[in-house]
Amino acid sequence: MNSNTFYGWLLFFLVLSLSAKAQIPETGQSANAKGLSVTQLEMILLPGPETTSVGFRIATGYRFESGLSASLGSGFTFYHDPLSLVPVYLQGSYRLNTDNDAVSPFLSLKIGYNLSILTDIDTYVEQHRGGLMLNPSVGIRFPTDHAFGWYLSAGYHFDRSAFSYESWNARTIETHLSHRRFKAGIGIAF
Amino acid sequence: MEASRNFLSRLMPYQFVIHLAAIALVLPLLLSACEDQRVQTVSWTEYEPVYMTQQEFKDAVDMDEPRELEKPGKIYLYGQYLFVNDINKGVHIIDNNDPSNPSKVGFITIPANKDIAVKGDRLYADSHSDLLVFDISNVQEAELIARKEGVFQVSANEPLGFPYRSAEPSKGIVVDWKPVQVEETCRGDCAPDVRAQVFVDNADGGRFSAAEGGSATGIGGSMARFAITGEYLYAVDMHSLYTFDISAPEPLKLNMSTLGWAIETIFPYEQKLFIGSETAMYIYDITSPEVPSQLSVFPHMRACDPVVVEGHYAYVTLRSSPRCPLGDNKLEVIDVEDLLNPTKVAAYPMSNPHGLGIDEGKLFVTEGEEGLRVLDASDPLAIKPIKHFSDIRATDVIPYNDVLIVTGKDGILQYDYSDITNLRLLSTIPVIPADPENPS
Repeated sequence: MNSNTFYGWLLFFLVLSLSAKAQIPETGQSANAKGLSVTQLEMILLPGPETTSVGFRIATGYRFESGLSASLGSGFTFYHDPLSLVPVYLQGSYRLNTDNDAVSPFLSLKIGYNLSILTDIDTYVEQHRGGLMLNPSVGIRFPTDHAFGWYLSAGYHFDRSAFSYESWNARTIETHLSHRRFKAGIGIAF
Repeated sequence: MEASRNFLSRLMPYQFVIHLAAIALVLPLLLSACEDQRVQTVSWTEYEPVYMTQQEFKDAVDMDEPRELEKPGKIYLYGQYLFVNDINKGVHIIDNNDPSNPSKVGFITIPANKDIAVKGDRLYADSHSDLLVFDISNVQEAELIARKEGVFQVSANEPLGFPYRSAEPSKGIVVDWKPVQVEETCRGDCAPDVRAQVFVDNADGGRFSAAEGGSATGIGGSMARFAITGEYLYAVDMHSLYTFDISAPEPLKLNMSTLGWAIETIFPYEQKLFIGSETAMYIYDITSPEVPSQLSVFPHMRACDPVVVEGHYAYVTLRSSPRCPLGDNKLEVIDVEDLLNPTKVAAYPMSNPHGLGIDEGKLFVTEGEEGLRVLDASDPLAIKPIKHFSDIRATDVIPYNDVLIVTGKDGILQYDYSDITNLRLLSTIPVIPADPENPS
């Protein structure tokens, strides 16, 4: 495991632990209440020209009176060509309707950095690195009878990464990948 | 101000619709960029020919002031003087009377020079396809006394490494090759480049060099492609063995015989020539010096391999390298008492063996980037390691009179090996590349 991968997983588990903590109902109020912590779990699909990549996101943060929320998130994006990515990002969201019992459209922007993990061991790679992650999206949140809501989202997903190796004839071959995908997601928010 | 506030308040009931409209406008713009992009950058070092006109090529030969070692190639010890080829540049003359304090005497500029040998007061050096003879009776005023033009088939057109750009004869004579960085960027994957389907080698890029001979000759390293015995100069290139009569100042080309493929080194020993190639060791008899005759061929796996001989044994290093990618890294000992039937009697694993030298059972093997090994070969069937210098880069050696001359990317290093268990560094002549950012 290289340092890139190590720090990726470290941050991922940091976000995971923060998320777990955020779910503890310390105040006894609904987590969806304004000004309280909010946690999101989301599965995403990134259809590409040849394959569809999948991933998940977990983010935790705070939602304010105005409908704005800010979160720190991480997750995993499985591309397998040959790198998969662990994003660490900041997320800003805006709910157009702040009523927890109503269907509400929302806007969201995730921006952060991808850490790379080599997941295709059949490809010879000597060095790899991640890059910018950007994900603007729109969605609709649906209320439930329980203390969480679920939502659908769609948007644009941009990931950068790169890998390189030295070929047998002393040529350095570096490949820069820019994944520009439509994103569809489904998730729950506590 | 009031008017605009009223206008905004009238829009409030339509807020949701406005938001959706904005999304509807922005989303298609984003989705239009939904296409993965793969950009590949391939970078490599490519060798580019350096040209001279015919007149420049001839006029360039001159005795110059001493200069720094840039890319030392073959070495040749003659009396108190050490001759060091700077690949494709010329020959450094170093007064080595005191190995603890060698001093540069001068530099003979010889374009496209890779190999040297000395006999008496004459220095023999190749220059492209020519053989040059210098009078060195006064080493500070070395003088060109003869040029035999076009005597060698293979010339400096051979690049120092690969890949390389093709030479264009219309631009002149290729006298050197300089490395240039090349970068190619492609959308998607770059197509395989046929120029890459070749190999790289470095300090052994020379075409000829030098070795030991009779009483009035000097001593060359094991990577030599020149050898002098008696009144004859023998030279090998990739395919051929050349014989020159050097009894007169003007060398006379007597013979050229085709040996085989990938000939690398030549080592003269007791009226025999031991010739190393990538696939075999050839033994030639020079009892009739004008016409060397083949005695035997000892084949081996393809590997880069110089050879030295002492007593009844030949010592061959086999090296895997980009040029010989399937070879082993080892030292082989071959019993050559029966010259018609050489037999391998021992083999020892090595790391990256290049040149080697032996002096009364004291065996020295240069291991390139892996340093220098000192071995006890008093019993060739049970060679024992004595010491490994891993902190130097060594290409070839000359052990002579308790002074070990080591050449490599670090320069010329000299050791006192009178106590074989405790080599003592006497001096270092460093390499100072002209272009520090591209020392290759």
